[in-house]
Amino acid sequence: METTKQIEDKTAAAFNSLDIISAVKVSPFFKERTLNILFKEEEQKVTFLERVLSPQIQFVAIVAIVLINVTTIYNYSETNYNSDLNTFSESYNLSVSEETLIQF
Amino acid sequence: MHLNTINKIAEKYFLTETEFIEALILKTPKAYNKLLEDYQQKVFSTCISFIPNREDAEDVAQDVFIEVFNSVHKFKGNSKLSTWIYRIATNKCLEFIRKHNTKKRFGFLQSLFSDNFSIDKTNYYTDIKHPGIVLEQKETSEIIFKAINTLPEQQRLVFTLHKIDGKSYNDISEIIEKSINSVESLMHRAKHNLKQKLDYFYKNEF
Repeated sequence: METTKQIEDKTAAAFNSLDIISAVKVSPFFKERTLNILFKEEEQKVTFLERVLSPQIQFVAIVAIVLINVTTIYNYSETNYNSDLNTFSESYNLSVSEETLIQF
Repeated sequence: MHLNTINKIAEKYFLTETEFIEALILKTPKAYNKLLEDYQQKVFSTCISFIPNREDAEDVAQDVFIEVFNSVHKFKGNSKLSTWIYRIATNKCLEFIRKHNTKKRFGFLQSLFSDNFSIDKTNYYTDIKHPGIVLEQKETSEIIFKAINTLPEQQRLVFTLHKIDGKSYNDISEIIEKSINSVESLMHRAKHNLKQKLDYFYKNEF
């Protein structure tokens, strides 16, 4: 068992140990590392919106829409012209059927 | 103030704190460069006072700057910018310690309910890696850091900021938003409690 004096000395030494802690310098690359993290995060936040709304994407979207429309119209006029014409003539009784030809 | 004007000011130099804050809100790289130049050492010193391990203290200091970056627009200017940054730093440090203490408690509970019962004596402050502590003082420092860790949060905060980080009562009162009298009282109670804890520890050492 330690004496009261010894205990007091040890307690005082523990308190004093805090006074002799020397200053610690931050690592030399701390600033660069932190700046990289800060602006990398910010870039990532901005690029998501920028990627969606960038002029290149807008241009490509317009070109794609125009191409799709042109292709659709071209294909439509090629394949459906005759069948549409028939349907139209039949619905207005404009077609000349074989039966009618025989009668004459 | 017009956006371009602020950017121009930020790019050259910052005449007043208000202009500097405006540049920080605009996330100007030059402003953050200056912020880190001015505060990296101060914030790190505060962090290592609470967390006696270089790597962990640097991680927490980094979190402080990320928090400043993300929430500087919420800074209302009721206090100095430095006070606001120190407030973030102390909160982050306490958060870190709280997290570690919870982990420790959880570990202890796990050990209680596991088959091979053993009380986990490991503690975050058992093997401190504070580069500013000399080898001869390591054991004594570990004991006092452990004792500080058992203090109530407000007492720990005031004691660490004053005794280890070397901040004045005036600065501490601004950081923790309490009167100087309250700070003095917290400091007095912290010292008293620590003395009791250390006396008890050394009495039952062997």
